[in-house]
Amino acid sequence: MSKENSKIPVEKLGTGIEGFDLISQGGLPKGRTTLITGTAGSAKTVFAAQFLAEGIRKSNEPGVFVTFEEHPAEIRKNLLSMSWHIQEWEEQNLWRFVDASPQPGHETIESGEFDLGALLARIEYAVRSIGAKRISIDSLGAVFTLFNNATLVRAELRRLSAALKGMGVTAVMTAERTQEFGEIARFGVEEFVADNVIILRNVLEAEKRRRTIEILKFRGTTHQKGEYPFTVLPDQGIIIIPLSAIELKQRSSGMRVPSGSPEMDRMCGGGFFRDSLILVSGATGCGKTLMTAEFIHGGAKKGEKCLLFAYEESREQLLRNANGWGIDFEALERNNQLRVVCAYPESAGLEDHLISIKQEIDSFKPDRVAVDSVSAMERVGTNRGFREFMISLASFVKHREIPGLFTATTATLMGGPSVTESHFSSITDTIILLRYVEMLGEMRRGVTVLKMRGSMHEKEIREFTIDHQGMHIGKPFRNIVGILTGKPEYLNVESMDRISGMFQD
Amino acid sequence: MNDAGLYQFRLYVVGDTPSGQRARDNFRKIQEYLRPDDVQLEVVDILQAPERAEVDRIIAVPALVRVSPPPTFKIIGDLSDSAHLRTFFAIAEEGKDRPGCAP
Repeated sequence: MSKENSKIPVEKLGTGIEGFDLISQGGLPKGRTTLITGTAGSAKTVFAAQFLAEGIRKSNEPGVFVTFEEHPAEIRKNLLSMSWHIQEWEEQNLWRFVDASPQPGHETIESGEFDLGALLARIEYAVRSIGAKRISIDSLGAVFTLFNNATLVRAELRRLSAALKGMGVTAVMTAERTQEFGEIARFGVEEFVADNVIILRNVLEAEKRRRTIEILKFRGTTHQKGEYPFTVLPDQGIIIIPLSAIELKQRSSGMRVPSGSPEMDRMCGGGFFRDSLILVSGATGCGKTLMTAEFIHGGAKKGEKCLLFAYEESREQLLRNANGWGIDFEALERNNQLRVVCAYPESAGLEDHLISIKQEIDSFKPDRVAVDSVSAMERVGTNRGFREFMISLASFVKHREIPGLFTATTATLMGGPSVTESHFSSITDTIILLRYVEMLGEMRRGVTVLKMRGSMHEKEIREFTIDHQGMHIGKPFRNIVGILTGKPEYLNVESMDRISGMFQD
Repeated sequence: MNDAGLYQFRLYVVGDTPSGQRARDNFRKIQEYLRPDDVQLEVVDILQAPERAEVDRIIAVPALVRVSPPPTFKIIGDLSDSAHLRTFFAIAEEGKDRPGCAP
């Protein structure tokens, strides 16, 4: 019997913090205490407050906030920027403060033995009076600064931790760290409250701040390992980007959608798959934005809604260029068939870009999405951050079961791989290469479908031209080798025959 | 209510604990230094009235708060460390004119 009991998994409490319940595989261990540690400015207090706020907003669970640092009035004011109206919640008995913040100008003298029984009694009273299910304590380090005797504080906090268990609440305690990598928390607090430890980091990497969250341990239950990037947004609080926790469980369909160019449809064996990711890679100026425009136009002709994220050109430039190819973006926007979102990559961090992309998609609900170009984002983050951005973006679009066309600019004019390709190619379903081909003193353009999952496609490299009606894909380059390596070479008819003869039975 | 009390103190305790009892005993000794008639002591059991501890932001017990004369002071502990206490009450005596208070 007892063996059976021990197999009952630790129950979890969904926090409601976006992304957290995914990486924690269901939330925080229910009825237990979790330590949140991090350096100054790592969003510990936001996490602690959001844990309560989401409980109130999403599951109507009352919460108690014990503050040792900031005065409740300051917390109310600060969190108003997240649109959390704590005062209203207090009036509705959904939120209660236990104010243990220091009183400025009030001197405290220690004389003889004491304990923190008053704190315990107040917490118990607050929990009981509103029937709290969640409690946040911010922060343990501050308790140590209030008293001279660290040993006593440690013993008392251990008692508090045990008492919280008895109250049946799920608790979050915050604690400071002095370094991003090193001891878990100051004063060794993890030793006595740490069935579960979460670390928030705010690392300066290549002149960029990168916030991550890591679940270090959950005693007796599972969670995702490693660091996950997150961001703190006004009106929303912490949003975690779950990356590898995202499950590849999207359905796949055989339904095809037009690419916008009948010739391209033919090259792909009948158009793009409806729920596929298409990467268009090429050097600057060789027609990526044009393919994007064709993709949008193709959707619009079918009455679909398209969303375009442009990171390289301004809106005016984009509209003018599209006009030059005979596509009227403005008219499409007026019909609510197109929304163009222009942003300067440097205007925000990668995480923030990602979240704004998600929000645009959620609100506009497009039938197809284009990003021109994703490689512009390489500049904004670190290599690792960029990889995470790409994976997250790809899986998000795939989950929507809509086609997504992303463009990537190669580093050199004559082709060669780009960072985007190496990070992205394995999760894309279709890769289209656009290349310059130098031929008899002339720059011409070639296009080929490098890969297309689940479908036959043409293997030839075809020439294409651009005019006022857009893109025209013509005949294959028959007598040139080395286009993809960026060193095109002419072959005369004799050697052509010889090579094709080599592969005959 | 005795308005004549020059010194008003509030002692916070949690239930009936040895340290709470010691604090009361020690306070009585201090009281003898001051004139007993001038001192008013209110004992607050936080288990009975938890919301009162909220006002004075009490987290450690026993805690002695000097309510008047201002400024407000807080002593935590069972008041057994007399060296500290002497300092504390020396300050307390400066707060108000003492009509013939024996040292």
